[in-house]
Amino acid sequence: MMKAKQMTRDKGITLALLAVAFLILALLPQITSGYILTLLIDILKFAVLTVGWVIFSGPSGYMSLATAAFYGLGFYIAAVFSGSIPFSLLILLAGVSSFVVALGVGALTLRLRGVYFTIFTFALVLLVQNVVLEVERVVTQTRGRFVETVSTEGVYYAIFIVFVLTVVSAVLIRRSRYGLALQSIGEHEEAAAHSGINVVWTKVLTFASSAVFMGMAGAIIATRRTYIDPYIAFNLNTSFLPVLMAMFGGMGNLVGPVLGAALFTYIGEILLTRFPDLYMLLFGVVLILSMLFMPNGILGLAQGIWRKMKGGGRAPA
Amino acid sequence: MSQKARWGNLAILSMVLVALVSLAVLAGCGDSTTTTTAGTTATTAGTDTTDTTMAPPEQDKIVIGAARPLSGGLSVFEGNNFGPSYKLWVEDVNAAGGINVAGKMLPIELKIYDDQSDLDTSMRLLSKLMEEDKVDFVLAPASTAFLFAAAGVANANKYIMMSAEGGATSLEKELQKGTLPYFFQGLNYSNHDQMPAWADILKEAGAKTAAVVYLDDLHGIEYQAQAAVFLSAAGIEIVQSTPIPGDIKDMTSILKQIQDKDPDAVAFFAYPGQNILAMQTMMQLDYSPRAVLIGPGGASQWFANMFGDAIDGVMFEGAWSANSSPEAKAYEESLTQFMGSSDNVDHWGALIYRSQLEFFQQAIEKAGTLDQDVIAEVMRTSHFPTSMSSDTFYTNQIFDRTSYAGQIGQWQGGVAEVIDVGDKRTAAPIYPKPAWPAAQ
Repeated sequence: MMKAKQMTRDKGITLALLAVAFLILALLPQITSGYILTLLIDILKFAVLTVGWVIFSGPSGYMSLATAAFYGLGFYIAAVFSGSIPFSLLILLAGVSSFVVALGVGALTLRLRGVYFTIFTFALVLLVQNVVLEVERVVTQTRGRFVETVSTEGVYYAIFIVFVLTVVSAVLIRRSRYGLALQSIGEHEEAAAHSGINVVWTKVLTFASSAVFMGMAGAIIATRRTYIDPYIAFNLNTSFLPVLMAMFGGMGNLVGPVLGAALFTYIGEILLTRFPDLYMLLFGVVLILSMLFMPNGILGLAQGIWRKMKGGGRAPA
Repeated sequence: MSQKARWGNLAILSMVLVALVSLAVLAGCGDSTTTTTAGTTATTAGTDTTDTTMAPPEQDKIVIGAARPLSGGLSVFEGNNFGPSYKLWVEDVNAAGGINVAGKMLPIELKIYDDQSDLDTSMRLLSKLMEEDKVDFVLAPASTAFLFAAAGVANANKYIMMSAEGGATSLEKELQKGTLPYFFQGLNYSNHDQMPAWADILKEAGAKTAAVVYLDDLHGIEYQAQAAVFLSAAGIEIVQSTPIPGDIKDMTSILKQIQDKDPDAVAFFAYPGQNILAMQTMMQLDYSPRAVLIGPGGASQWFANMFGDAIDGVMFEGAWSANSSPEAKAYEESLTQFMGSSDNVDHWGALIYRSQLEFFQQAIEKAGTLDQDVIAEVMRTSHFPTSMSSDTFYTNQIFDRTSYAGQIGQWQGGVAEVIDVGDKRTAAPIYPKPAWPAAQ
C-alpha cells in the first residue's frame, strides 16, 4: 500500500517536472535572445540525431554510420522544395523520403552483420554524396543550391517538435514488440530468429523509422543555411558525432543520448570559444577520460552516484 | 524494466530538458576569447569626408568579430589570403589612432573564433558574435559556400557582411532579388569579369581554339560555363571540356587527349592541388600550350616560386600587380613585411580584400556612426579611393568592374603582371607562352 502511494507521488512529481521542462522549452523563444535559441537548435538537432541513431543501433548492436545520408537527404529535400511547399510539409516530405530510402537500403543491406554493415553505411554516405554531385553537375550545371530561410523561432519550434516526436517514438518503439524483438536480435540474432521473430523485417522497419527523424532534422536545419552543397549536406561528421554523443551520454536508456548530445555540444562550444587554441587537445582529453572512466556514459556515472547515495538501492535503470 | 524505473527515467529526462535550457543560458552569459591587434604602420586609406554632425559614440573601441578557419581544411585561407589582409588592416588602422567616428578615434579590437572549417560551427559562432557578443561588425568566413550561408545569417541580423575568399555568379541572382541588402561582394569571379577579360586577351592574341579542365565544384562548374559563353562570343571554339574530381591523381590521359587536339589555350579551373598536378603533367609530357590559364593558387607567389622559370608566360585568375599603381606597390611591400616573406602574396584577392576594408573604413567615417543601416547606405552610394583604384564603388552591391586593378594576370620574369586588354594592363601578354625550360 505504502509502495503504491509512493509510486503515485513519484509519478505526479515526474509528470510535473516534464510539464515544466516542456513549457520552458516551448516558451523559450518568447523570453530569450537569438544566440541561446541558436545553441539550443544545435543541441536539439544533435539530440534528434542521437536518439534517432539509438532507436536502431542501441538495441540491435548494429552500428550504423548512415545518419549523414538521411540528414543530407533532408537538406536536399529542403533545397529542392523550399519556397514551393509549406515548411511543415517540407519536413514531412523529408521524413517520408528518408523512410522510403532507408527501407530500400535496409532491405538490401540489413542481411549484412557487424563491421560489414558499418562499412556499408559509411560508404552509403559517400555514395549518395557523389551521386548528388554528379546529378547536380550534369542536370543543373552547378554544385550548390540556395535554400529559403526560416526565422530562428520557426526553426526552433520545428526542431523542438521533432525532438519531442523522436523521444516519444523512441519510447513507444522500445516498448512495442518491435523494440523487444530488436532487443533480442541484439542479444542473440539466431536465437531471435528461431523464436519466430522476422529478423530482417524487424531490423529494416526500425532502421527506416529512425531515418525519418534524421531526414526531418536535415530539412529543418537546411533552412538555416541559405546555401548548401553535397559536401555540406552529406558531411561524415554528422554520422560520427551522434555515435560519440550516445557513448558519452550512455546508451542504457533514452536519457543518456539526450544528455550526451546536450553536454557534448555545450562543452564543445565552451572549449571552442574560450580556449580556441587548446580546444582540440582539451576535447580529446575529455573524450578519452570519459571513455576510460565512464564506460556507461554520464548516465552510468550518475546512476552509480545515485546508488551510493541511496545506500546500494536500485537506481533508475 | 519496472514501472518505477520508467518513471525514474522520465524524471531524469525532464531534468535533462531543464538542464538543457540552463546550459544554453549559461553559455550565453560567458566571456569569450578576444584577440587584439596592436598597430605599427600607417594606414593607406585616408578620407576627408568625416561626418562631424553626428554625436560620437560612447564606446572606446570598435569590436570586429569573425568565425574564421583557424583549423581544418580551409585554414590555408586564414593563413595566406584574407587572414593577413584583415590583420594588417587592423594593425594599420590602430597605428593611425583608429577609425574616426564623428570626431572620436576608435581603435579596432578583433574577436576571432575558430570555425574549424565546419559550416554549422561557423554559422553558430557567427550568430554568437552578432547576437550574444554583440560585436560592432563582422567579417566573412572563408570559401564561397560559407560566404553564401553567412550572408543570409548576417542579413537576418542586419549586419553588414563583406565577402572574403568567395563569390560566384549564382549570388548575383540573390542580390538582384533584393533579399541581401547588407551583403557586399568584393572578390571578382567568373563572369565578373575574368572570363570576359580572358576572352578579350585570347581574341587579341589571335587564338581560335581552347580546352577547359574543371573541378566538379561550384568554382569549376561556374567558370567552365562562363568560359563557354564568353569564349564562344569571342569566336573561340572550345574543343574539349573535361570535369575532374578533387582527388584526381593522374591527368596524363586528359592532357594527352587535349594535346592531340592542339588547342591554342588551355584553362584549369581547379584548386592548387589539381593545378600543380596539371602543371607537372604538362611538363612531363613536354606539352606546352600557347596559352595556359591557372585557377586559384596560380596567382600566389609560392606557386610561381614552385615552378621557377617554367612559370613564365602562365596566366592566372586575378589580378593585380605591384606595377598597377604606387598604392599597389606599397601594399605588396607592406604585406610582404607583415607576413615575413613574399611567398604568400596573393595576386588575386589580397589587394581586393585590402581595398574593401579601406572602403569600409571610409564609409564608417563618412557615416559618422556605427549604425549598420546608415553605413550600408553609404557603401551602396559612395565612391572612395582605395589601394586598388582611385575611384572604388559598388554597383548593385558588387564592386564595379572599373574598380578592380585587373582580371587576368600573367607571370613574366617572376613578376605578376596584369594583361587585360585596356588601361589596367601593366605588361603586354606573352603569346605564345615560352616552351617549358629543359629539364636540369
